[in-house]
Formats: sequence, C-alpha cells, structure tokens
Amino acid sequence: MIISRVVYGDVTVLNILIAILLFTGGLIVSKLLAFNLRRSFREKLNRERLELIVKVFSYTVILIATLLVLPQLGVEPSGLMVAGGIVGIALGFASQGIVGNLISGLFLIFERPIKIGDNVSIGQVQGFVEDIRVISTTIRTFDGLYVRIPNEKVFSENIINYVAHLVRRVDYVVSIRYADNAEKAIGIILRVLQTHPLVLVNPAPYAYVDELGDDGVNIIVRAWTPTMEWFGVKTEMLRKIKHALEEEGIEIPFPQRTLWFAEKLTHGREQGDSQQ
Amino acid sequence: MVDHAGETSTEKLVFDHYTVPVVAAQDHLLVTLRKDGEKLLYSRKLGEEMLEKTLLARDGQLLFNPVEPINKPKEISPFLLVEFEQALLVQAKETVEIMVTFPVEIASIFVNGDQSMTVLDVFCLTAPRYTLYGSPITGMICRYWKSPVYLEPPAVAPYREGILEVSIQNATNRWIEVHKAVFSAHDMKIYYDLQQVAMRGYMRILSVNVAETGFTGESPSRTGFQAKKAVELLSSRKHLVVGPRLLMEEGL
Repeated sequence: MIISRVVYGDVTVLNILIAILLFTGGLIVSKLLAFNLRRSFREKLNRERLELIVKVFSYTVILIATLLVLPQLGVEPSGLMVAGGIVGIALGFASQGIVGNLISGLFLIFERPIKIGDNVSIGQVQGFVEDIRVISTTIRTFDGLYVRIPNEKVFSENIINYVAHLVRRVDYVVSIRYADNAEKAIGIILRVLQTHPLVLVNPAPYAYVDELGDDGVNIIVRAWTPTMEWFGVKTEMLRKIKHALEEEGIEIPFPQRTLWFAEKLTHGREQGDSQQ
Repeated sequence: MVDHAGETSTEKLVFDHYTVPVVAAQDHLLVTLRKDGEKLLYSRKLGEEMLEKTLLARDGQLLFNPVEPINKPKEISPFLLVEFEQALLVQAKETVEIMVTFPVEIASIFVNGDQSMTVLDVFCLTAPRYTLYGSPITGMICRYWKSPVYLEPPAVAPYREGILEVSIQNATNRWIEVHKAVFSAHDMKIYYDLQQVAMRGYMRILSVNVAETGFTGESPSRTGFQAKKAVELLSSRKHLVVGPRLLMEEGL
C-alpha cells in the first residue's frame, strides 16, 4: 500500500500525513483560540494586552503541535538539543539580521516603549502602531499608508510616543494689535479655555505676553488636555479663541511697516483737491 | 412611583417614569418621546446640542434616572474628584461626617413593555470639567467638581447636584488637612427620590498624603429621604482594571 511506503528512514507516507494533520489541526486550534480570546476579552482588555495574550496562546499551541509532529517525521525533540547547538551557530551566521530583529522584537514587547494603537513617531515615520510582531512593527501613517519597520531599526531609532502620558499640552501663539488691551485679551482667552470640558482644571491653562513683535503683541497660550483628546481640543480651541477675541473687538494684526519719506507726498492730495 | 401618564403638556424633569408621549423640560433642556406610526421618536435638546433617535417599539415608558457622573461629554475617566472649597482639618484618630455636592448626570432609559431597559441618552445640566490628580505618569484623570463642605444636607437642585455623604476617618496620630477626595465610580451606589440625589462614601486617611476611598453602598439615612436605588451604568460595563476602592496616593 502506498500509505505504508517508506519515504526515508522509518518515516512512511502515513507518518507524513499524520504530521500534516497534526500541524494543520494545531494551526486551526490556534486560530480558533485566538478568535475566541478576541471575542471574549475585546470589551474587557485593551487591544495591546489582548494581542499579547493572543500571541502567547497561539504560539504555545503551534509549539505543542510542532513538538507532536517532529516524532512523526523521525526527529526526536531530544536530538534537537544536540543538533541545536551546531545548527544554531550556522543559523546565527546566516540570519544575523533576523535574529537581531527577533531579539529587538522581544525587547519591544517586554519593555513596551510603544503599544498597539499608540500614536508614535519612529525615525521619519509617524502614525499609529498597528502591530508589534517578533520580527517587525507595522505602522499606519496618518495618510493611511502601511509601513513595516524591522524591529532592530525600531529599537535603535528615537521613538516619540505621543500618547505615553495621561495628559498633553496644547500650545498657541496668539498675536494681537498694539492698540488692543493685552490683559483683556488674556482674560478672554482664559475664559474660553476654562469653559471647555476637556481643558483640564489642573494643570491650569495659562496665557502671558511673550513678545512685543514687529507687527503685534504675541501672547503664549498653554492648556493641558487628556492625551487622547489633544488633537480635537487643539483644532477646536484656536477657532474659539479667534471668535471670542473678534467679538470683543480684539483683532489679529496684519504685517505692517511705517514708511517715512524724506519729501512730502502731495500727489494724492492734489488729485483729490482738483476733483473737489 | 408617580407615573406621568401620557400627558402632552410640558413637565418639569423629575426622576421618575413617564408614559409616551413625553415632553419634559428643565432649564435649557427639552426631552420628548412621541409616537410616529409604528415607531417612537426620541429627541433631546440641551443648549445647542441635539440628539435624535428612532425606537422600533410601539409603546413603553421613559425613565429619568441619575447615573454615575463620568459620561459627559464622553467617557474619559472612571474617577470623580471633589475639591473642597475650604480645606478641612481632621483631628487625629477622629471620624467626622461631612457632606459635599457632586454633579448629577441623567440617563434617559427606555423601559419596554416586558420591563427590559435600554439607555437612550445621558445628559448633564452642569458644565463637566476634568482634572489631573497626581503626576502625568502615575496619576489619573478625574471628573472635576468643586464643592463647599457641609455638615447638614444643603438645598440643591436634584437634576444638577447630588449630596455625597462622606465619613472621614483619620487613622493617623496627627491632624490632617484634606483638600479633596477622589472616588472610583465603580460601585458608586446612587439613591434618589423626587427631591434629592445622594450617595454615601468613606475616606480613610492613612498618612499625610495617602487615603483610601470608596462607597458604602448604603442608602443615606437622613430622615425624610425616600431612597430609591438608581440604575448603575458602570456595573453593566466591563471594567476589570478599576476596583471599587481607590487609594489616593498623590496627596489629599
């Protein structure tokens, strides 16, 4: 029978079929487990923790399936221990980059400078962390591009995590005319900030005259918001501040320059006089 | 239970059941629930904010119910920080009973004929604010409220403010100055009647900067308070991270 035909050593076609079935079964169990874990804990755990748990369980199932498959293929797991040293050295030379990425990936997973869903900047790439795998990290940029970064690079680059802390500051420079009352403007700005529910009471928002500029008086405005609300507050508040200042007759200055002429300009006036 | 049965005239908002059609108004708030053929139309206008929903139900009741004040303008934090207008000095090994106010958020809950409930909307007649308690790394963002400290129940409008009775126990051997109390909204048990919204909490001061807070779950025991327990929104959600007790470690 073809099923009992020896393929190599003591391994028959039947052994190979059992190995394929076992490994496929392991993959299916791993997928089912991941699906059920995600379904059960989606509401209870944040995405990053959930994905870590899912990965640990999935890889454990696949590892068990692999260990079950090996004897069917004539490979004793205990033999791997001996062969592993030699193979390891050979693989180490052959796949330095992959191993580097793998180790960096493990450090990233355990050190956790970034988490899935975080808004980050890694080197020149800015966006949301979509996944942290053992070899690479994927980022969805703000304009929707998929960027895969090898973990070794992630680990060695400067990482800015915009959402690592609970609160984040919104900064503006608001310029007003020299003719306007700066104290009144600061009062209006603070009133606008203090009426917004997502501008924090503590640390309190503040505003001060920072510079007597070429065209106007520059007021620095600083307010803190919950990090996850930073963008919404930042885009909303400047518009509200502008409206509030305009309603009170305080305007944003245009660039202007006063010119002094050595000789008196009379052309325009003479024209006007002649028309009268 | 007072059942406001199908009256189409505008009524003041009270925490009770209303039978369709409902028209309830309070300050800048207008809530309506009316029949439209085989469905019901819910609408809520508060200032410039407007919300409309269509319910695929023929009949039912609308229940206005005070809920945990952590939902508006969106669910940002499960913590409530009440800052005292005046610092409170508590004697060593002493337990004092004080009262502060807290912001009331109101849920519009649709009660179907089979008594199944669904929350249609949550609104708030006071302006919500948030604050950071502690450092940006180890602290927490909290719903903020500032209140005087009372020893007798203050007269407050129940649809705007509730009364939080706090039992403060100073377990240390020295006088402690308390400026604020932070509570986890998990296990916040709110009780109400037609005139008042109230809950009971505790604060156990462990050192100059550390205290444990929580809610007793008991109804405030004042005379004349016909307590009815409010529906809890938070307990129906899954919050594994936040427990009912909270350790204030970043100052009192």
